[in-house]
Amino acid sequence: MKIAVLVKEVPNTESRPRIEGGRVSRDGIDYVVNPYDEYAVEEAITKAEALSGETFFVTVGGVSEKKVLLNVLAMGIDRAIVVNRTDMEGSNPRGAAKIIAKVLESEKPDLILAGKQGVDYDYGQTPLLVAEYLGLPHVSMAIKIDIEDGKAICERNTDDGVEVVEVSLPAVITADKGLNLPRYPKLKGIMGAKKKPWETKELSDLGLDESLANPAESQVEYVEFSTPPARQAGRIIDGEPADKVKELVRALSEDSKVF
Amino acid sequence: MAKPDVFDFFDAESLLTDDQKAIRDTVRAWVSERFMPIIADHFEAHTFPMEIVSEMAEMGLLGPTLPEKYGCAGVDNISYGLIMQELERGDSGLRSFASVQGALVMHPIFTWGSDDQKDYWLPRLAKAEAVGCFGLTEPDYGSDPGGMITRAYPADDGGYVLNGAKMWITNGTIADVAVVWAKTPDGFGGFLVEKGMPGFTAPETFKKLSLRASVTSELIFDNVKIPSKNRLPDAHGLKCPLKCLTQARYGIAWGAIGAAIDCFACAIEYQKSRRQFDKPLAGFQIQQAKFADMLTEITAARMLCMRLGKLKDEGKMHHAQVSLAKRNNVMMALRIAREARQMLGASGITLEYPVMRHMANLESVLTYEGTHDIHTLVLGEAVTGISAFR
Ligand SMILES: Cc1cc2nc3c(=O)[nH]c(=O)nc-3n(C[C@H](O)[C@H](O)[C@H](O)COP(=O)(O)OP(=O)(O)OC[C@H]3O[C@@H](n4cnc5c(N)ncnc54)[C@H](O)[C@@H]3O)c2cc1C
Repeated sequence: MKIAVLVKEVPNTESRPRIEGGRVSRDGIDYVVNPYDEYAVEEAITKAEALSGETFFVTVGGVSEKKVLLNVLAMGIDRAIVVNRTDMEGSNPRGAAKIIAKVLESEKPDLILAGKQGVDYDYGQTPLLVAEYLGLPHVSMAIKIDIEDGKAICERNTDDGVEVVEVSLPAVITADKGLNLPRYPKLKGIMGAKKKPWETKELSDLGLDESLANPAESQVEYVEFSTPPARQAGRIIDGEPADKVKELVRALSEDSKVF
Repeated sequence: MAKPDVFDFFDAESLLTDDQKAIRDTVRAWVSERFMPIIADHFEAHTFPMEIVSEMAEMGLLGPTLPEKYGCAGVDNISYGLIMQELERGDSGLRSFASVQGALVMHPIFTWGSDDQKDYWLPRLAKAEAVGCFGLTEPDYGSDPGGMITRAYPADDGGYVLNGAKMWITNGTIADVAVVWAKTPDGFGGFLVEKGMPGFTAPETFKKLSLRASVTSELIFDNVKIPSKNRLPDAHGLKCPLKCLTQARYGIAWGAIGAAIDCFACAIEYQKSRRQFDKPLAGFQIQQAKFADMLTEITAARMLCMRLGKLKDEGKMHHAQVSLAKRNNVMMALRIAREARQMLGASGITLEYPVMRHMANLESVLTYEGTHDIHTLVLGEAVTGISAFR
């Protein structure tokens, strides 16, 4: 059983993005592995352990150099395929999916796992597009995955309860919170991560055209980025308690229209 | 020039390897996510969080410097120190658990044990399938362990009969194996006393106001029959348990930095947001003087440990250097914890904040593994050549 995991580096939630030249600046941003991808990584490792399979991850990016992605190997994924395109971060799920599909075409994994969305731009498109380009079935937002006789039986949360779906393998399955509890890397894993196979690829190595990295490929045009308005200072109502209550009720219903 | 990070003012970070940083960050994340949410309740309940021990073991935090052959990670001493620092940022009780298991139980078995003892115990202790404790201190002999009363007499069958009692033993009640130091006809020896051996009991010590999230116990030996295979064959003399303590103290010197940083960070956050007299507390000179002292002391303590770790990795560390680091760093952490406690005002006395918990814990850390005074005497002797122990 060969399992691929799609992984993305995203800004950690404590980073404070700044807007520069109409774009989100990468300066001073600390990257982490996309939290939803960690569920996919954990699932890949446990499945590979149970079915004596092999695992690898694919990423399009490499923004954080190796530091963040080495963590994925430290957790237990066997090898890395990094398509070196730091200019595509967040902006181009379609281009990324075409690139990943190309990598997977030659790798031929039996199972492709990914997080349900990247917590940077939250498109949630890339894995599903990969499935589309490879002509594979997909299940999104799985909270349970069982592998049996060339099939995956998955559970997903819906508004009305839990839905059980079955797909034949190979398939693309995206992970939702609740699928598992991602492990912390072992010390041995951390020290061994650098020794694991690490392949860096350029688009030309994959026989792909540079235009895939072009923002136009995404078919999305960014019109403007802006930061949320700063929070207004609170207002203190002075006066006698009875008047204060009256003013409070008035302000809540008329000014802020809470009622 | 970039402004220095207040939590690493002299950029010790650039002295670390990528692996050391990754190890530290992993342990830090684990402590923050898995341990911090439960520690206050355990401290209040006077219980040790057994539920997270298997995760610690899984990551390889027990006996991490020992070789892979025994299921350990074989990390260097700076990494080991950073692990201790992060664990004690959580709680001294958590670091104590790891110190005892690694430095005081696995280390002596590894150093003076037989192959059978190593093969049997080390993998189990690394995986936390077994918990260990270290019994040196006795009710009547603390700083002066050489006077110990516990005796192992040779028995007719080639084994030993153990009699006596140990006190203040971390992990005693929950231990599957106790490394017990006893007088023997040939001097001092180390014995592996196993849970359930007839005549061996380990009642827990309650009503502690410090290290409440750590199990402390008495060990009582009433004619306990110890097979000869349970004696550490190469441990002769009092220097052996003292060498174990040197290992553990090395980790404590690092650990203290973690507790100090947690208090420092808490005080900064609190005083920046809390306002009195129309401005943040952090804006008053008296408070800033305290911050300046904390910053200086933590920075110095860290540089001390970085150098000590290097010496240890090079096999050049002297026990008196460890005494200096343990003595300095624990006292500095205790001072910072007390100061931070004050700087939080009334809030500082609750378990909502970590400062008083660290403060209470550090009172034990100041006492165990050689009291502050005893390390003062070690250093005094190093300077003058005159022993003032008795
Ligand atoms: C929470 C906790 C956990 C512990 N865990 C363990 C453990 O796992 N295993 C273990 O073996 N022990 C353990 N100990 C015991 C610890 O190592 C001893 O408490 C310590 O060695 C001091 O011994 P004592 O308490 O008998 O104090 P004493 O030796 O009686 O000292 C009392 C005071 O007198 C001072 N004093 C003593 N001798 C001198 C001197 N010559 N000159 C000047 N001042 C002196 C000391 O500094 C101290 O301030 C633990 C203790 C605590 C509190």
